[in-house]
Amino acid sequence: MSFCRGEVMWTKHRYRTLRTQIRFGYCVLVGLCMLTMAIGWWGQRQLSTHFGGYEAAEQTLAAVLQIDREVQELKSRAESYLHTGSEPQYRAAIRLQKILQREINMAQLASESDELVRVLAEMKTHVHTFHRHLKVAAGERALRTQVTQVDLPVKGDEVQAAMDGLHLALNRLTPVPHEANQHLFAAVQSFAFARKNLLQYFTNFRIDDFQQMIVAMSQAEVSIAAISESTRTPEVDAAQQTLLERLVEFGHLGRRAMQATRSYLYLSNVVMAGEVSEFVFYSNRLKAFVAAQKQRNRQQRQAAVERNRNLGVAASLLSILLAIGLATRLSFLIVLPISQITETFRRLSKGETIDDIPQASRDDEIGRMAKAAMVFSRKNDETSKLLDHSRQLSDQLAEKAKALEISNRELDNFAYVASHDLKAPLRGINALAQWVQDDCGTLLPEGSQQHLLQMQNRVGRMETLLNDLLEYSRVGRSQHASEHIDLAELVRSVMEIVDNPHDLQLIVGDSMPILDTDRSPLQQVILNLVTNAIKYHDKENDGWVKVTCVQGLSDLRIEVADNGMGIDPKFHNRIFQMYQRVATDKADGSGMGLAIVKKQIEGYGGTIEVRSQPGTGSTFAFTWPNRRPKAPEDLLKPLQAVS
Amino acid sequence: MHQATTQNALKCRLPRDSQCHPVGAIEPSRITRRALLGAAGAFAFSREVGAAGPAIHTKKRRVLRVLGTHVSLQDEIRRRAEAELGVELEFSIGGPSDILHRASTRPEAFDVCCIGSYTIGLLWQARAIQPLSVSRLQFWDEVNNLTKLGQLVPHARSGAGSSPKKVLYVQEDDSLSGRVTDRISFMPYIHNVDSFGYDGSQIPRGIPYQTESWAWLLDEAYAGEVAIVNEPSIGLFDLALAAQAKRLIEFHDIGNMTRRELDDLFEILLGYRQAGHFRGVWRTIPQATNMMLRREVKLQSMFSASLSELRASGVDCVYASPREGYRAWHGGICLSSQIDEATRDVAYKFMNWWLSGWPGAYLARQGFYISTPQRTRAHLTDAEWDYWYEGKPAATDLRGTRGRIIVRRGQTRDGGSYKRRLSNIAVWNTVMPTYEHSLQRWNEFLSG
Repeated sequence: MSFCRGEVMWTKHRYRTLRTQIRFGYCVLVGLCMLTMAIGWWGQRQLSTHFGGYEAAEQTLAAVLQIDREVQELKSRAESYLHTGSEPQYRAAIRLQKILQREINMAQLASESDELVRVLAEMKTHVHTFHRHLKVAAGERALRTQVTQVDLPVKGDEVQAAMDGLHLALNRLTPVPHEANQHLFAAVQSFAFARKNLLQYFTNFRIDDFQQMIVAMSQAEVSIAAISESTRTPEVDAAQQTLLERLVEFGHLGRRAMQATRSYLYLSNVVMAGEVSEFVFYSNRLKAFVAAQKQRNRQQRQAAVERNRNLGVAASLLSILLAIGLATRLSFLIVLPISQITETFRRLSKGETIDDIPQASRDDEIGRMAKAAMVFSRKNDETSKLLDHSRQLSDQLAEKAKALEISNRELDNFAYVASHDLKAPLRGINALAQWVQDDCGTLLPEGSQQHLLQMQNRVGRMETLLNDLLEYSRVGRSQHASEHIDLAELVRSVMEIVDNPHDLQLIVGDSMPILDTDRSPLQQVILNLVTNAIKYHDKENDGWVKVTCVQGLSDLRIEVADNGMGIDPKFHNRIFQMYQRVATDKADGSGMGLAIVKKQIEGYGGTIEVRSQPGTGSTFAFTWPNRRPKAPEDLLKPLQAVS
Repeated sequence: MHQATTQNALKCRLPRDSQCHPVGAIEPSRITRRALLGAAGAFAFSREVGAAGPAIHTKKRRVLRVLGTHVSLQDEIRRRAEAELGVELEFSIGGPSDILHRASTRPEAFDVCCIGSYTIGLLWQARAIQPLSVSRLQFWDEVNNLTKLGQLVPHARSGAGSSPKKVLYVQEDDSLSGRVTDRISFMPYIHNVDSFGYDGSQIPRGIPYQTESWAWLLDEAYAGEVAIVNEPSIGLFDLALAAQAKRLIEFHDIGNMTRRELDDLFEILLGYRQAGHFRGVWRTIPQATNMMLRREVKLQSMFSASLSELRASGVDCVYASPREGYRAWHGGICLSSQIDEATRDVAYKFMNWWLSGWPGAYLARQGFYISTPQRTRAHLTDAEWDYWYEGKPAATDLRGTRGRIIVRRGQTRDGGSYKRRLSNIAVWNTVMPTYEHSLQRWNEFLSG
């Protein structure tokens, strides 16, 4: 159960992650693209189908038109054959019929419409019926041709021969029976009339001619029959019988030919024409059907085009709307929160503490960023507290520095006042001692005189101490105007004024810069260092003191080196303290020189160090700002701004 | 006489055991039954003379070759006749023109021919048939006056054209006329009157004999929805009656049109044809039925068989009773001139059987009339008689010969009673002297 819940939560979490949602959006867009493609493909397929249907309809129409033409030709050839008896026409008609059957079968196979198939089946039936009746009509026509062109002439000749035979038989009688001859003559005339009318019937197709033929034949038979009544001999009877039989046969043939004529006329003009008529009807119906189908296909195709266009537009609009929606959602989900987070981080970078971090409730990456921002906020809070604490400390420090400065100033004032105020009584004591010596030098015991001298020396020394103290206290008190200083010129001016009793070599380094600074402090520093180097130098002829400078980014590194006696490293800190002297035996001094130097340098924000070993000389290196440093109040401003 | 043929009729010209049904359904072969009957007879014979020896001698039944159309030569009729007469009937079925042709040119190929009376003259002229003796016709006295006198009742419209009476009696000089003799050229039996049928759901019903008119066939309101039977000796009269009813032409004798009148008529018809007035023509009952079933036509030349089919299929088809009168036809059975004496006896038996009652009742259920209606009445129910012959509303649902209900209770036969219908004959189906010319003009009409 817990696993399931965990899985659900994981799934939910996964679903809520920005990556998942971006992927989901991507999938949706891809899906929309595929949908649009599918719609396009489906539309193309629809159009292709409609084009196919249209093409099929065109083909069907062409096939129907071809069938129609061939049916008309079939009818024409069939009628031509029935009128002329031309065998090639008949063969062509039969061949056309077979072609038609085949083409209709093919059209049926190619057709997908039940209605079309049904109509084609009807057409096939009519063609088949036409063909069947054509064969019957052809048989009738052949029979008629045989009867009229072969049998009837032969039979007519036979009748004529029988008449001749009867005539001969009658003429052999004595006396010649005129009455019988008249009957025979009447029969001959009737038969000739009958033949003529029969031929006229075959030419004009008038039943009157045929009826007259029938009547004439009957009259001929009656006339011949009348002969036997008046003249009865075996020879005449036989000839008469033969003639009657021939006449009956002729009449029978005539009727048969007439029936055959009627038959093929009926088949041709009624049955076959009716079949063609029905065929043409179905053909026209088929053409109309195909035309309607074409029209329908055209409309469907147009509708499909419009539908596809609408679908395409709809799909595109849907895609665009969804894309906009997704972009908006992603923007809402990502850009806006990120902007908020960015703003949050910007504020955090300024050290603000934000209690209500936006988007922190989300489970996705933005939420995690927001949670990170919360960490930053907490850090800022802590930093703020630290800064407050630091500011408090700084304030305390500043206060203490200020108190220290006041104290130092008071001390300096005290030293200054003391040294300045003490100098007058001391000078008075010295003057008094001098006056005593001048007045009573010789009067005083030698011991007192000695004491007096010692007192004068001590006063002189005390004055020196006071002067140095005064000098020290003055450091940082004087306000100097910044000058454009050529360091090389400054060093050379110092070297010119210093007392160089052993003529040590004083060297000025190359590449000395030009800087904007207070001249006097720097000059005092270099003067004190050079003076110390000369004063405590233990070499006379090959001794040297060298001043060099290295340009830094913000300050100068100036070194004053010598090859004098050197300073034991254990004294390196001590030499910068007030009234500390290391080589007391070497020279006179108050022990304030390097303390003043250090104070002066540090007053300008620089540092000083010494590199020295006994016997190897010393190098005092100090840094000096390129530009005049700001006042201590200015240095505190950034700190105050932060707070 | 009905001239329409079916496809099956043409297909089944001679196979003796696969007779064609009017609507094309092939009935079960008779061979098995006949074989069984033969076997049964042989068995009976063998029991009687079994002791005489192993040889079995069966009396071969006489075969009667019957030529005719599907209207009367139906399989059920053949089975019934064979069973009652004890003869074997060989039906040769074809279209009327085919039958006429075969009968006139090969009389030796048939024994009796069932054919329209309007072709009797041609057969007689062709010496293909021989006279019948009325003394050998058992029910001749019961044959009604329609053929004997040319009118069913006095003052009835006898109709133009080839009235059966005109060719019924054989005269002394072997000519045919209406003068009564004891020899006749054919035995009258089945007959009817035809008009046109219209779809009552699409054309407002007319009043029989008053507003219903042949002129409807040429009414421009039905342009493109009119069909005509493709038979000049029938359809031509439908169109001629229509043109005359529409006062487009006036015939001196509509049953014997001159060439000039024919030319004038076809000029009129050609105009209609070219204007697309006619849906087309039909030659078979199924074709006619399908045209209206498929709603291709609203009205057309129609035979009663199509009417029954259409009504059974739910089409509200009305058989018009034109005020100008019907086109009538009459069937007759005639003897081949070449028939032998023994077969002639069978032929007479067969003809007498036709008028004996049952065949008339059977045909009545298909809408046809018989020349001995009173004898037929005994084989019909009162409801059937009242509907088919008396023109009264059907007391019950009436079934056709195929067992389907073709008349619903309460329906009345279009045109009314037998007497009324047969008293309104405008013209008889006729082969006019201008027949050949009409054929050529018919072709032009069809091709128009």
